[in-house]
Amino acid sequence: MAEVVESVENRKDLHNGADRAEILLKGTGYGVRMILPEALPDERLLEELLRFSGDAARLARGIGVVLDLQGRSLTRPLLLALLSQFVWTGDFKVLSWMSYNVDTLELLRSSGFSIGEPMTDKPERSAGSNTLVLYQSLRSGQRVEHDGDVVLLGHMNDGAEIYSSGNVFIRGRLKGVVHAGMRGGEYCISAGQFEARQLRIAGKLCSTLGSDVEWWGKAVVISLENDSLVARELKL
Amino acid sequence: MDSSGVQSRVIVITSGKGGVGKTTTTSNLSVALARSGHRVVAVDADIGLRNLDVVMGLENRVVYNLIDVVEGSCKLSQALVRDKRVDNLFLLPAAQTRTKDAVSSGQMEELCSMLREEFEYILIDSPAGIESGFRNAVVGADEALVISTPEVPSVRDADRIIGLLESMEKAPIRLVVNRLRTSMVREGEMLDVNDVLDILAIDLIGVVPEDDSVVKSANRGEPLTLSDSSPAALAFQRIAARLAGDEVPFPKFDEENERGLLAGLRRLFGKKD
Ligand SMILES: Nc1ncnc2c1ncn2[C@@H]1O[C@H](COP(=O)(O)OP(=O)(O)O)[C@@H](O)[C@H]1O
Ligand SMILES: [Mg+2]
Repeated sequence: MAEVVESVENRKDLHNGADRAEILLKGTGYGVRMILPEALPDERLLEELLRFSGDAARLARGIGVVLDLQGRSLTRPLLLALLSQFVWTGDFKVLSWMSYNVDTLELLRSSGFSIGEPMTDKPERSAGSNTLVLYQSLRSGQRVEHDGDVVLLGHMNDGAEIYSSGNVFIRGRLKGVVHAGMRGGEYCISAGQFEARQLRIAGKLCSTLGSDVEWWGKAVVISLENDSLVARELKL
Repeated sequence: MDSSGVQSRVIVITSGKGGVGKTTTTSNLSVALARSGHRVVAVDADIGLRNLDVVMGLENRVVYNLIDVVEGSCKLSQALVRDKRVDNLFLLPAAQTRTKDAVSSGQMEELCSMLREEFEYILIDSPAGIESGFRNAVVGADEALVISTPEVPSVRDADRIIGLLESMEKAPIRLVVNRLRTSMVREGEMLDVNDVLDILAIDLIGVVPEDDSVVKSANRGEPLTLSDSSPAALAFQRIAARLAGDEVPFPKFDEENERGLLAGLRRLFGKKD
């Protein structure tokens, strides 16, 4: 089918497409923002989401997800379908919903869902910030340097390194060296399974980590707040 | 394609750390594949530290070597040593007196295409590490076997090698876990196959137990797969069969093998790809 072929081709330039009919994942300080493009018709949205559940979504499972409906006008039947087939299946922890459609927001709010970016005390993401999304694992000896946020949808093995001027989000196991906020700033590092001996955010270094910290091996967000590193276990 | 029209496969046998069993694996797999009727050449690309010829028991018959071929000092057919014990098995020895820089990647690629004309399986024994010798050994290969022992430093170095192989677009890249000691795993003194797979996240092609007969066979210059039925010999035979595309179950009697298989299955369902 022509449609399918097109969406496969689109995959190549995932980060800079706002108008494409494909679900996008964006790493954020709190987890993953799932952008559900308007270009995707209602009847295909669920289909895409479910297809997504099988594959890339496994990466997002277990971490918080924000569903971004963009400008879509959300109908009650679609909301119900989304809830019963996607949200309530428990594969995802939906932290909040986003939309810039007033009616959609009103429907969500009146149904009792949280709206907007979760954890608003997090550092603001500058508009047009540049996110590098890596659909792979990083192995020993591999090094990523990026001016912006880095989203690694895989593991980060012992001996791998990420240097980023923004936030660093690692879906899988974090065993390598991460330096977030290289040029300063209150950024954060998040990992699906934290097993790193050291980490750095801006000018702060913590090198005394080990299996004695209670969140070792767990899903964690570590952020720089008021000049000290704060770790929060992500209990989902 | 070789002369009989069979698609040739160039497979590099590699590892991060040295001494984990590359040469042992190359010699045993070469013998096992040849015994099952394939036309095989074992290439010693560990230039300057040649020992594949010794382990295969062919050192007395080495005249020319790989460098002589790439430099044009002899014909390929003159440098190939035929194994008299097994039909269809040849060795292309390394030079003992030269350094790894004596050959370029371009020359190695050319050599591999020459070998493709003649052989179905071209198994390349490579030097340890990630220096130029590694690149030369890998450059002409399609696929790779990565050898690791179940020890943390070996696994970490294997991870590095896998990253390099991936970036060079070798596929498939499969793992051989060598020198597994069941008793040490049970006592928690050694990683089990499951742990290794969990870290490396590549397909397992086989597990070879620690086995004294390996050392004896190396000293005698008689690869185990010539005749022996020791645990390591059987393990190498199974790997050879899997390499040739047979579905060989991971044996049930070996607790670790089984766990490796389960981990492999789990990854099949649990990992993107
Ligand atoms: N499964 C095994 N059991 C016991 N000894 C082994 C085993 N595999 C390899 N060895 C021994 O380990 C040493 C290194 O093996 P070798 O194949 O030469 O490694 P490499 O080529 O990677 O340097 C040799 O002495 C070999 O006999
Ligand atoms: Mg060797």
